[in-house]
Amino acid sequence: MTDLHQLIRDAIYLVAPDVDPAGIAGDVDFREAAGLDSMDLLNVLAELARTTGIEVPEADYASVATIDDLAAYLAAHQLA
Amino acid sequence: MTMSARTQQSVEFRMPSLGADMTEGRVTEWLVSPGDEVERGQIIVVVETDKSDIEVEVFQPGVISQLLVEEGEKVPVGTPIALIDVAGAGVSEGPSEPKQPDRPKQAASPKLAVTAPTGRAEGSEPSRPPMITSPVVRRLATDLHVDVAHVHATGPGGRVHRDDVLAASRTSLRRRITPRARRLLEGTALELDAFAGIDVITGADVVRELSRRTPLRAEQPSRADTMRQQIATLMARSWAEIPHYHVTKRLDLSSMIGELQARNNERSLQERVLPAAVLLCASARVAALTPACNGWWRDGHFEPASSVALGVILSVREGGIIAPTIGAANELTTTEMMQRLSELVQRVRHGRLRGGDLAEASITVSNLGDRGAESVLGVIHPPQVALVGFGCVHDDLWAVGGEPVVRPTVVASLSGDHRASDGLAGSLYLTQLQSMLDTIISEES
Repeated sequence: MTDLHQLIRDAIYLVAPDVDPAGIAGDVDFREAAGLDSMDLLNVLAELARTTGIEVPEADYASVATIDDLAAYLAAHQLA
Repeated sequence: MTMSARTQQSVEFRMPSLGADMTEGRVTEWLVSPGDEVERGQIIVVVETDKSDIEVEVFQPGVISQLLVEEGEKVPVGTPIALIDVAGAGVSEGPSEPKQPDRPKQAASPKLAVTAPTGRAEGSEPSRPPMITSPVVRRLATDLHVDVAHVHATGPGGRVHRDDVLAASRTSLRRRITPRARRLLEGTALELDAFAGIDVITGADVVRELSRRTPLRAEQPSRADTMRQQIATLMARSWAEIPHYHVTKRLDLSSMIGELQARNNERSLQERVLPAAVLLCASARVAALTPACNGWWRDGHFEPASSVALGVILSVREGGIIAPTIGAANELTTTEMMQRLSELVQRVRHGRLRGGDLAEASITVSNLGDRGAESVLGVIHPPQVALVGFGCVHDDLWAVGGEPVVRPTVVASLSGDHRASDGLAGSLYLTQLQSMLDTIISEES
């Protein structure tokens, strides 16, 4: 698990404090698993933008459905 | 208004009525202590009702002179719970040298103070006052509500850097902790780091965090049960009392969503607006144009509302729903609505509503969200006379010039109180909703 994974799980916890993000596997749709709606997703991404400086555009939402994918996306854009 | 004059200097702060059905409330937590100066709009107490913990604001600046009700005590609505000295307001000094009135509590518990080293703490005045020489830094300090006198200056000669202000703002914003939270934290292994992102750590936050870490603790009769009871009562009353009619209309969202996406692409993440917020905005504006659907049925007749207080049904994760209110919703831009909705959802998620959230709504919207059913025919929240329902936004076939085309659509419904209006009013509402949605985004640019 990378630091990015931890950041993502922290962001999920901040938005939905009743969810235990440690229980969400890296390869499942985390919105589904945590019961996040579009507002929650936006808040998760906003929190990640604050901590990583990377903003995920709306068009890329579909490609960041799992924590693994989102971490990879953030890692790729950190290098860019 | 929750205050009334007692003497010329002192006003009573009373247990507010946070919703029509509230008769009593429990003071769960004081966020201030006697001697504290309070500003208009400052949250001073957390009150527990059957629905939620509510953060209650003061509407008048002053100095807290006495807390009349202890934490944990339940009192009827209207009972004075604190005395606020309004004569002491406006004196431009920090929280210094308050008179120490008698307090219905044993020891003077630490006041809502900053615990971080750079924050202000009792008796730790820096020997040399920090200086701000840059107007930019001064503005930043003002914007972030950072008291310059308590900033740890790292620049030469006690000069304050931009980073010092930012650091002070982070610590003061994120590490404030109430006396009750501090007591609860004592003897636990919890560190303040567990509360990242919370402005003021309260007892409720500590309890939530502790219970999260000991998941198998036995639950007492939960708030979810009480909430279920309340929903049951309200809905049974509605169904028994209100002769409902329902009208529905499938709406074409292609203009709205197309324009919204184009606008969102040019915006930073924090400024993006979700379709859900646009639907709320449009619902509120059309309600203002359809007086027969916006108001209350009371004592055998319809009372139209002068503005749109929009109830928004949000589901609570532990089960149940809550319908907080967005006031004057018809006057908000879509961006403002998004902001309000986002804050509201966060407050509901954290189980902490504000007093204003429970003002009486004049019409309510139920939105099933992104993944739900196609349509919802809702039950009106009495004494309101209408409820607007949205199913999930989804792509569907739409006939354009005799040909099938795929478009983003939503099925909107209006449940109306047949005593107050007829199906025609509801039908007109939905027709206007379509035209409102067609132009709502383009009109803002």
